[in-house]
Formats: sequence, structure tokens, C-alpha cells
Amino acid sequence: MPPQLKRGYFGDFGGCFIPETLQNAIRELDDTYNRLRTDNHFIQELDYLLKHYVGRPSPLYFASNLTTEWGGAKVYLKREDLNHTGAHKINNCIGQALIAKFLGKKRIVAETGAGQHGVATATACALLGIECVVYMGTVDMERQKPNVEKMRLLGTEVIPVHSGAKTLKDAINEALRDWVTNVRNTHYLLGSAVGPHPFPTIVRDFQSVIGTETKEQILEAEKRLPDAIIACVGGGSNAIGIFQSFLDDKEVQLYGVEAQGKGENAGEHAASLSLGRPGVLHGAYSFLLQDEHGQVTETHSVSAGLDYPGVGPEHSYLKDTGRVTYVSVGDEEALFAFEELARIEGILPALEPAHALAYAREFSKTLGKDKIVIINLSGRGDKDLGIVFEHQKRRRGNE
Amino acid sequence: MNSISDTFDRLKKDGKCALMPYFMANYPDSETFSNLLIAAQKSGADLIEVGLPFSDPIADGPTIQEAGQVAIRNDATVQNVFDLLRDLPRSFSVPLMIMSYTNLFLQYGLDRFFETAARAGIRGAVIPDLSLEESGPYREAAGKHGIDLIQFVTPTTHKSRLAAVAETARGFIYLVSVTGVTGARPEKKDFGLQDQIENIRASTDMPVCIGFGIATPEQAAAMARLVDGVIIGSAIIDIIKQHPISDAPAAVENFLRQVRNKIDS
Repeated sequence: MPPQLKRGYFGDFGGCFIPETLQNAIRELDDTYNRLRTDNHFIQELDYLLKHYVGRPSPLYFASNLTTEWGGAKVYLKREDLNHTGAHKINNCIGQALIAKFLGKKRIVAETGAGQHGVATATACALLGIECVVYMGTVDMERQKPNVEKMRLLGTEVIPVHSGAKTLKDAINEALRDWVTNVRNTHYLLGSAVGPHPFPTIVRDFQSVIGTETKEQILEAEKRLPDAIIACVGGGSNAIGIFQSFLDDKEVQLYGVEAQGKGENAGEHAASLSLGRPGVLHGAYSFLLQDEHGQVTETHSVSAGLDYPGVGPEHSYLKDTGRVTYVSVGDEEALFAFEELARIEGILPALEPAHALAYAREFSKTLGKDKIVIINLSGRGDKDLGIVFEHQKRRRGNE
Repeated sequence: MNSISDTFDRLKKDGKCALMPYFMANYPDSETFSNLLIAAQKSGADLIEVGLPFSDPIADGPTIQEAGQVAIRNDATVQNVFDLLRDLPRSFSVPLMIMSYTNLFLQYGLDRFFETAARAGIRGAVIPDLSLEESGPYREAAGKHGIDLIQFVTPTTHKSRLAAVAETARGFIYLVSVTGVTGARPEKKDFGLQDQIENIRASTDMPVCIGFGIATPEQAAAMARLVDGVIIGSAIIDIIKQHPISDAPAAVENFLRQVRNKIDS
């Protein structure tokens, strides 16, 4: 067995299942990243941009109103919504766009679901002067319109994807096909901790800044570690980013919250870890929503960013080892949490972290007032206003 | 049914290039699919690739993607397709290969997949999203049942990798003609593969077959001068699409006959 056979695995999960055409580019990316991660020049440039362009560190905010309202543990919010472009996605985009620059790639392709990764990629490309093409399912283009407009303003070409369920999974398929075709001059800037090795590792590393800061901030504020950290999981990049610094601190409970959509039947949800079984999609072996024959099933979530049948391989591993507990929350509870945070704290969360808030709401009540819970508020909700208004209208109609 | 290497030995003796059409299982429907296989035998196909549809075929262009969607609707599950292939008339004797994506093999169970496949007359497996690095268990399970796991080389495959490819390759080397996904490219005059073919020849004496993009008898004939086999997929699906279902087998047979004549001349 060649030693590289298990390269890029987290336990049984991960790997690199890709067409031969991409093999060379993947190796080049892996080698370059391994060199750059310890290169002082690269680290300085990344740190500079994260501080002065993205606005890091993002605050860890003690939500006292929410704490009072929920009546349980002290609630802190890690404010990734305050980053430039309004979500955690930019952390990874700046990092990977810098790698692409070092690789001499003139063009970047990306996929986007909610549009947050698309906007962040378009932004990083505008900043670094790289041509940018973003694939987006037509269903997502409709429900996340403001982000489509933003990407276009940033000089990015947004290509509508009409295949499959016309959402994130299909956008990744098209981006991969583009990469297979243009691999010589193009970098694929994958937006979540999914895909073939080395993407899950690269994305995790660039997002781990969230966890590193959170740890310092909570130690400063409370002089101790939190009791629990809660983050939403679609592909899982914000979650793996905040969990990373706490994996060895066994006293900190970690919760990943998936989208349960409208129910537990196939096609109604996007809870890969809770309701799927392992399989290979988009280059990695990981938990996957699929039918008995191995065909990937369609998913549903009110949140476009969680509407994905797969999940990052490291999450599958963390489920397997039991280090992280994965739970799921439906559309209605997420929408309620969205409105509650707006009303009580004056913060509009994205519908993705609204799932984490919804779980935290019930969970924190079970803890004493001396306990501490941190929620990763991975993005802001401006992009979701249309969906929320629609929902409110429907609810008023039902009353 | 002959093995893949028997087939290439025979062709080599006759000084011929292999003609290898691709058909998507149960496309446009299961009965026509059977008739297409029989038509391909009549037209002189040496090996046939059968596509098992997957929901997310990242190496395929729009033509095969659409055919795959139709095939999924026509219940082209692993079991149904193997049943159909096993029940083909006795007179059907072309060695078959399965082309599909990793997850279908995995979910059916590797050993069970290849065991059932062997009983259905399958002699080779082509898995475009299975990289060399991940292929060990698949090659082993396939080999146990006399099935060759085919290895890809593409225009971007680095020379330094060819030794590892040659070492693991079984049956033949599948040379992808373009940097891209499947799909007919009738306008392409020259695929510029001479250097890569020389590189492969220098590292192995395994037969080399070219696929992806070949659409016309003329392109096939030009390729036949360089390699040991030509694979035609999307162009055949385009022909099926252009004809009423009942006429499709005859139209495909006619097209493959033209290709056969061109590559033999």
C-alpha cells in the first residue's frame, strides 16, 4: 500500500475522488499550500488583509438581552456577521485567492448557495485583480437576489445553473466541470470544508481563525472556557473553524446544527449527518443524503447555505468519534430565531446561523445561569429579508 | 465472452483498431437500449461501454448528463441493468464494460457489484471520479471476478505519474482526448495528443484507447492511426436523440458501420 493512500483522510472519511484531469492541479495546490502555510511573507500578507480589509478580530459579544430572555446560560455571539461582506466566508476566500496568486492562476471559479461565498470570492478577486466566475443554481439566484447583484457589481460573471435541484450541489457540479476544462489557468475556490483533499484542510485552516480568536476572547471576558459552542452545519466551514481550537478541551461541548427543513422524509431536509449514510460526492467520502441505490437525493432548507446533501469529511469523523454532537432544526424554528434576535438584540442573523440560535435557545434553558454558551453567528441576514417577509406574509394569511 | 485482453490480442493479429461505442443504460428506454447493443454488435463493435447513470456526473458534459437523467427515470438501477444484460440473446457476444461513478459501486458493495457484474458479462469497469490513489480496493475486488479496472491518462497527466499508471493499469489505458468533460466535438481537427501517446508507449505496452470528444468517422479514423481503440459516446446519444425511438438502433448501426469502415481503411 503506497503511503499516500491514506493522505487527506479524517479517520475513514475524506480522500480525493476526482477525475485524472484534476490530479496535477490538486497536487500542485497541496504542495503550494504546504509551503505557504509556513511562509512568513504569505502569513504576513494574509494577516494584514484579515485585520485591515476584513476587519478581524470579529467581536465576541455578550448578548445580555438574549440571556435574560432565554433565562438559562450566559449567551455569547461570535460576530462573524461583522466581517467585510457580512459572513465568515471571506476568511477562506482571501486565503485561497492569495494561494491562487502564488500559483500564478489568472482565473478563479467558485460555487455559491446563499451567495455569501460568491460575494466573498468576487470581493477577493476584485481586490487581487483575478478574473472571477461564480456558478449559482437558478433557485438560489431567485431567493438570494441581492447577492447576485452584488457579485455582478464586483465584476464577477454569475453563471446560472439549471441542472438538478438548481441549488448548491448542482453549482458545485458545474464549477468542477469548469475546473476540469480550464484547469491550466484556473483555481477552484471551494467555499466550504468539503470536496477532495486538500480542500477540507485548507478551508478549515483558514476558518480556524474564528476559534483561535473566540478562545482568547472568552478567556479574557470570563477567565474560563465556555461550556458549549454551537454552530450551524451545511458543508460545515464555520463550524469546523470555531470548533478547531476547542477539540482538545474535552470539557467544552460542541454542537453542530443541521437543517431539518420541513421534516424527516427524503427531500424535506438537508440533515446529512443526522439522517444520511456515508458515500462519495464531490470528491470525498462523507455522510451523504442518498437513496437506496446511491443516487444523491434532493434537499430542502429555507436557508440556501445549508441546502446541501453532503457535509465536510472532518464532521463525519467528529460524529464518528463522538467529539461533536450533531442535531437538527427545522425551517420554522430558524425563522422564529431570526425574528427573535432582530427584536431583542437588534441583530439580523443570516438564516444559516439562525438554525444554531434556534438550537441554543432550547439548549441554554437546560443549563444553569453560571454556564456559558457561545453561538457562531456566521453571517448577517440582509440577504434573507425577502424570504423572511414572504414567511411573515404567509403566516399572517394563515391567522 | 472474451476478456478485454483477448479482444486486443485478436485485433492486434488482424492489424485492426478497436471500435468501442458507449450507451447509457435504459436510454432512451430499456427495450431500445437492448436493441442498440445488438445493433452495435452487427456494426462491428469490439467492446461496448455501458453507462450506469449517477445523479452527479462531474466528468460528463450536457449530452450524457441528460441521457443519465432519462436513464434514472427509466429505473436504470445497478440490479435492473445487470438483469437486462444477463438476459440479452445468446447470440450477443461483445465484451461489456461498465462506466459509472464511485458512489454506485460503493453503495452496492464492491465485491457484490463485481460478482454480479461478472455474471452479467461485464469484463471492464471505467470510473471517472476514482483517482489512482483511491483505486486499490476497487481494482482488487474487480480483479477477483475477472474484471479489469481501466485507468485514465489525460492531457494533464504528468509524465512522472505514468509509471504508476502503467503499473496499475488493466485491460487498456483510457486516454482522454481533451482537457474537459465528455461531449462530441465534431469541429476539432487535431487533438494534439502525439506527445502524450509517445509518453504512454514509452512506459507500457498496454493497448491505448482514446475517448471524449470523438464525433465523426473522420476523427475516429485519424485517431485509429495513433492508438489501439476509439471510444464514441456523446455523438451516439446525439444520433439517438435525432431519431424516432424505433429508428434509433438502425441509425446508430449505420453510423457505427461508417466509423468501422473508416477506421479499417
